[in-house]
Amino acid sequence: MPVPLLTSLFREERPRALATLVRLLRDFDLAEDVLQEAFAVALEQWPRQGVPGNPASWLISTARHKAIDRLRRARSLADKQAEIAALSELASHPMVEDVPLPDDRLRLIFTCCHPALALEAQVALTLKTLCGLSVEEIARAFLVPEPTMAQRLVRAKAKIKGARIPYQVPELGELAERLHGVLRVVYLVFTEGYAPTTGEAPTRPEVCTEAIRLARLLRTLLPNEPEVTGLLALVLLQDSRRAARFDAAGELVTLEDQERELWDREEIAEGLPLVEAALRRGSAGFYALQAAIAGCHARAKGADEVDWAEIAGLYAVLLARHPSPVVALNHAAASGMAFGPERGLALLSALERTGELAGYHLLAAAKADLLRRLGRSGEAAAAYRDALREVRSPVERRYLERRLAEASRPG
Amino acid sequence: MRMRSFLLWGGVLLATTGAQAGPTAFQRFRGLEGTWVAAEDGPMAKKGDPVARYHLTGGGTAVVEELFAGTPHAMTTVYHRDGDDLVLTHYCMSGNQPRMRAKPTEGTTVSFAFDGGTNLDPAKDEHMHAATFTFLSADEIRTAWLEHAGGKPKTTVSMHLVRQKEDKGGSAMKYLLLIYQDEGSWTGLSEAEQGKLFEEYMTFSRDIKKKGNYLGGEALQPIATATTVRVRNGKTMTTDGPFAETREQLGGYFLVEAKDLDEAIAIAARIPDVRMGSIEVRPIMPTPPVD
Repeated sequence: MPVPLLTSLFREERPRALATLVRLLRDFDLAEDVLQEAFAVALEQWPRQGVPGNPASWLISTARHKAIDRLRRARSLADKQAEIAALSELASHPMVEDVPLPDDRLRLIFTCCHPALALEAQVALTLKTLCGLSVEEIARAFLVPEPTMAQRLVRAKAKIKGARIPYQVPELGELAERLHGVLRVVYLVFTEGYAPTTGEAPTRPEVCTEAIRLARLLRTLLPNEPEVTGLLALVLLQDSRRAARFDAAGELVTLEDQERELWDREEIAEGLPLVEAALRRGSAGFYALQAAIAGCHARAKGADEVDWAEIAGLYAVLLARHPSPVVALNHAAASGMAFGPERGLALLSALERTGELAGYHLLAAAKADLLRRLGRSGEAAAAYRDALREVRSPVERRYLERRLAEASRPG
Repeated sequence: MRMRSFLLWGGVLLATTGAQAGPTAFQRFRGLEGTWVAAEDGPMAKKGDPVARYHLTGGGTAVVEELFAGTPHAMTTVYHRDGDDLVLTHYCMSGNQPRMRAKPTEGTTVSFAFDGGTNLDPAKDEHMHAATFTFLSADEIRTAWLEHAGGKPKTTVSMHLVRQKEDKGGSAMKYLLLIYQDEGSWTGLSEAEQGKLFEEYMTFSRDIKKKGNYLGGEALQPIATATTVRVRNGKTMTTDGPFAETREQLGGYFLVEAKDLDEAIAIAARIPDVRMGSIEVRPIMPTPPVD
């Protein structure tokens, strides 16, 4: 087997093997180190002897022996004591247990997304251990210097060990709340790829792909959690529009003007039944509702066939269950589309009065858009200027400038 | 001030609860089976040191108590029934074997009085002459032994013991739970509210003691009594304070044992002041073994 193929095989097998090793060794750093050593052995042996039937099990066994060797060599008394405990622990697990269990990865997710860790550390650790991304790749995805990202990971792992963050799936009573934290991490990874908060690139597709991978993994492990299903549906449906969101010149194309033939039919075909499944089970949650909204767009054959009343209704439910100023903004915009711009403007000025979205460029942009639809060009232009004062992203700035130019044109 | 009084009052109340018709004295002794550790620092043992081990013998008809097993102070006492009475024989490190007898009681305190013995003359020799056991809860006892010399009381040896926390698989971790609160918030409460908060602290302390998580806890005097000490170039410098800008001050702490951070967080989330102030959960650094 050629080396590049082996490398991609390692990438596939790594999270599975690592999750089991963390369980067996109860030490992140040790697990990562010995797994790396096992890869080195595999790189040497597999091309000559062939790839073992279950590569993950082979890697776990080999890595475990490396761990035992390493613990035997430990010198100080403190290490010796730890060694004795760890060795007896390892010895009590027969080799048949080197089989990776699906639960191991679930345990790992809950450990990586433990609320006692900073959110950015949760994200980094999840990408490192569950997606198998290198420190360099994660640093690039979040546009932080590599040493900063490395330091973040070291600190997170030190806290897991030092404060003894457990390596377990939370009990039923806590599962919902803890799962919410895990989903938030996955969604954060996705949005960072979909609309990066830093850097020049308007999107980072590879980051979105990792988030979808994580959501798929979660759905495999927790198939009966409606919010997991809802999240997978949401990221698939959002991602399906990736190719249409920017034109050939790299300029932003709004949903209304997107070429629907560019939407990814496979992702939509996978996502829509998931929306149904998520909504069927229990009360619609945060992600299921957003997925349902994305589904309304995905189902419409053209921009004029979008069921805006349905979307406005879904936002109203979302606003009632998960109130936030941004949801209120979306609800106002959707209501404007469904029931006339005046209705949207009334909701927007109510939101404006709360002051909660002061300085958020999309508030002014939404207002400008509704005024434009009413033909109130002068007021629309003023609102576009307000939005331009606050906007950060270059593509959004150029979009708003184009709109402002249109609104300012006499006609 | 406030938490200290909670803890003390909590202790007093613990001592007086359970005075009701219940198990016989011997049943209480049988219930001691297991290992007991010192609940506080004392001359014989530091808090948390194993002090006593109880096990049953003779088909459950006698309870053997081993104190300070494996040390030069090791002593054994055997408790068993004699009709309705409870009797003990104490194999003392002073080389004699006093016997004591307790009359039946349904209370939580069992009092033993001298009832003869071997290798001793009660009018002259130093010997243990009386003993009381107070069963505070299923996991907490106080004992007092009265020593006689020359036919008169000489000293009393008291012990406060708690049942050793069961090993929940893997060694437990220690966490310090630091309670930060606005000192003004207490005075802002009505008397009824203060009473309610006190009740909550009492319930909380009692519960973590019962579950074996409790290792210690105190309240601190107000920040106005604090002094900050530094040594620079060999010179000791003290300053009044700190008078930090933050509204929340360190007001007290609990030291607990938990199997992992999740359990420690769950305990912290039940400290009454968590609703007004905040709790910092700090894992205790494991003590490295001394070479």
